Amino acid sequence: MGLSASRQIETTAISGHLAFPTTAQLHHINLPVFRQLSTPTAVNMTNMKLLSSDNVEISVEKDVAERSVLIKNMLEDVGETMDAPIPIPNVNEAVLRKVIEWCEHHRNDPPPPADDDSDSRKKSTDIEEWDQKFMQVDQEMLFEIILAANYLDIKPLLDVGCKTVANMIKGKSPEEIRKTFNIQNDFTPEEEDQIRRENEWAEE
Amino acid sequence: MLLLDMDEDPQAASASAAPKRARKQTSPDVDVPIKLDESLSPNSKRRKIILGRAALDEASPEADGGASANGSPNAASHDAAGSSSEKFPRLPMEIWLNIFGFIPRRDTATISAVSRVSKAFHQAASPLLYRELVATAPSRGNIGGFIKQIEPFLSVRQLKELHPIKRLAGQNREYPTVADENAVPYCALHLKRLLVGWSNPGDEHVGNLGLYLERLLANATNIDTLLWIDGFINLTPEIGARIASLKLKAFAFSFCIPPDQYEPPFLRDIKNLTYLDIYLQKSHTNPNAVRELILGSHETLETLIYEEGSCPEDAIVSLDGLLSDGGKTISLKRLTHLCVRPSFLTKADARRLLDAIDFAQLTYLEFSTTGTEIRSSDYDDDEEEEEFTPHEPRDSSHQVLFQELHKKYVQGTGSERLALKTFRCRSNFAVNPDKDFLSLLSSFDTLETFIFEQTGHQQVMTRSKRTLEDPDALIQAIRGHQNLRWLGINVISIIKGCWEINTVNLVKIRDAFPKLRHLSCVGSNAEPREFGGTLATFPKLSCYHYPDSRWTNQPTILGIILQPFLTKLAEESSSDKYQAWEHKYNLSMVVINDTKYEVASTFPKTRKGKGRKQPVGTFSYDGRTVCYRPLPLGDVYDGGHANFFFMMPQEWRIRNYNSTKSDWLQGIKF
Repeated sequence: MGLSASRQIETTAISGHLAFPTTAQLHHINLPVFRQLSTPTAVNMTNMKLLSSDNVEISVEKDVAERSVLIKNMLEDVGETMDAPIPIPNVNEAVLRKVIEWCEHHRNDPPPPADDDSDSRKKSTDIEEWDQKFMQVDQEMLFEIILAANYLDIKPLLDVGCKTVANMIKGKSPEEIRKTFNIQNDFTPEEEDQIRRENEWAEE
Repeated sequence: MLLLDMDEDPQAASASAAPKRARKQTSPDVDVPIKLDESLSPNSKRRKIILGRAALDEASPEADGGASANGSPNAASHDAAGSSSEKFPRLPMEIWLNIFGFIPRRDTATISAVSRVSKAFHQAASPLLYRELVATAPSRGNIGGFIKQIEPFLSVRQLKELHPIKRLAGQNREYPTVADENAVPYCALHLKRLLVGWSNPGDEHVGNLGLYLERLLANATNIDTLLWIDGFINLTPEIGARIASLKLKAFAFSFCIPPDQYEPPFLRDIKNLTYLDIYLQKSHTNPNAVRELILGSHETLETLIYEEGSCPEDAIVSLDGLLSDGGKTISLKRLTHLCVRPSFLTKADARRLLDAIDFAQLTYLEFSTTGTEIRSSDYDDDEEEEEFTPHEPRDSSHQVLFQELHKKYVQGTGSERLALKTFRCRSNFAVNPDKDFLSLLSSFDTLETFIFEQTGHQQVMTRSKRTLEDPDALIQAIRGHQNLRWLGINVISIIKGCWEINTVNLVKIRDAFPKLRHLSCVGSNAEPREFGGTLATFPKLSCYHYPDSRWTNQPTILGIILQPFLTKLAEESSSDKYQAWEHKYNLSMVVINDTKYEVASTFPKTRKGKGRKQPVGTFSYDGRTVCYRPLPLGDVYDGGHANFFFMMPQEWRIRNYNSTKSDWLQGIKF
């Protein structure tokens, strides 16, 4: 198990998100969508539907949904808009609604600046006020949002989520971090003591 | 595991992974080599290292390399970072790494705490903890700290060898218990970036600190960025040999070498750099050695910073000579970032520069000179002593460069045009924005940052005969650069206002550059309130810099600038709907000369971990209030104003190694 799982993670580390169903797979999953699309009557609708993992249809405006690079690319691949819902198999309704809420608020954001500004993005743990409030959720939801943002490839949301977690970590002791994130201490006491001594310089 | 080499921010790693990974490690899921034993092939004996010295010693040759990668103790690292419950979803380590990337580099306490959480976290965070080191001993009192910082990277044997030196620092000796005294601590392999600089520990200690550094360099074989900008700790031949055996990508060298090393031999062994920063003084180093250094990297170099120390006229290094190899131009075909600061630029120098570098490919250009610009030959000896007035001088270095650039990229028969994103033209002297310069500026439209700067007071000293102020023409010339975000017309004068921007020009600037976020210029003294009022109508302005040193009462000028903002705020929001500063304005920093003021409707009460309190002042108008407070130096980087410092007149943007700021590697990108 260890091996295959680690391989999988390796893939995600490279591609940045988990593999979304390819167009071909979508054809397979939901053929009628494409039948409809191919008819000349299909018009460019500004609304589209997403289907959560727990099979709830959520209507969303196209430009809002396109904050997700995954969805945007997919729409570009299949062309025009789809009438049938797009399955988002990894995200449940509650999380998907939350993600859409974020996308709606940030629908007019300029694309993330390239190059120079990405440095400041990385350095700063500042989070704008609205996002701070948005992220005031329980930890389960926070993690779900992060995972969804990663999967849907919504980089700014992923960053807001990660910054939120980074801020939760800041200034905490190892034990506090374990407690906050429910992580098991798998060091032996000797190992723990050794690392503590090795790291003394860093904690002054 | 995939974590081991995630040494820098994940974004950089993924963007440039391929060429960088090529040399040391084999694949992301292979573990780091446990010993720096050259006889072992990098692939043959690898084993997961969970702990430091002790684990290293246990890593005996019979421990199997490959199989342990799948072994149980660490297999958990990929999924839940040791999470023991299903209470909430597990984040993959890739996301944890992204999270750790948001912890500021200098917050080593937090990174250390993370590394002590679990084995998986330890594996992920340790490379972050040890990735960079700033070795500096600004005074005798810092020697102990200097040594203490390096010791974790040394083997017990090395520590024992250096023991007598350690005693100088007056500390007790205690060695870790290890099975093999020669074993090199694993953290040495995590070290990627080393800066040696700003030391002044006293002559008798300089050599000893060098011994520590030499051993450090012997162990830390993965260092790819070395900035040796120290004025006291010499690059001895022994250290040079260590450096030559590293596979450096970035190297900065201020030529602090022993007097008998006029032509340091190791320089020719440093090859294939992408970043090179040279501070050259002919009296200390043979320019031929520098030529070899450039030659060795001419196919890979992407960033070149060249600065010549101020020197007598007969010691000026000619760029023409530096960039030619037996008469043939050394072509730097991959160069995208160029900062040049010679003493003086002749026509031959400029032509050679244009021949060696494809300026159309540059995205970044800084040009400045260190020399006095007026050579002794410019003075007429026959003239009466009473006048300290030079003859009308020859074309300045700036003019020479711009003339050549104009010839090639504006008048030239080719279709090539400049495509700079950043252009910083800096001078100690009055720079005449002559027609070549202006026409060059209007020949392309890609600039995002344009800085026109004069840092000296020369134009005042020389009775300003040469000063041709013409803000109108300059603004007209850059108008096409619609993506401009940073504009500096930054001419400092102690006596009279130079290059004052009047309201008419300010309006032009606002209308031409809708994306402008940072503006640096002197407002017209005649109409200060109109100036502030116009600033308040800039849609995106987040930082304004007022570079006039005549103003000593900074809060007063701050008030003059900010009051019109408040007036507008009051006028434009109806009484029932209160508008806070932030709802209307992006402006959150105002800099008067070099004091930075944070500006906001309110400040959070206390800052965590900050002992000092900054006094807060306020301005109000009709119930609207704006607060301001001076910003401590180091804080500038952690807020939304990263990069501001790099645009201060004294510093180069790319080369900014100041350790008091959180990121001394700002300009170094692979």
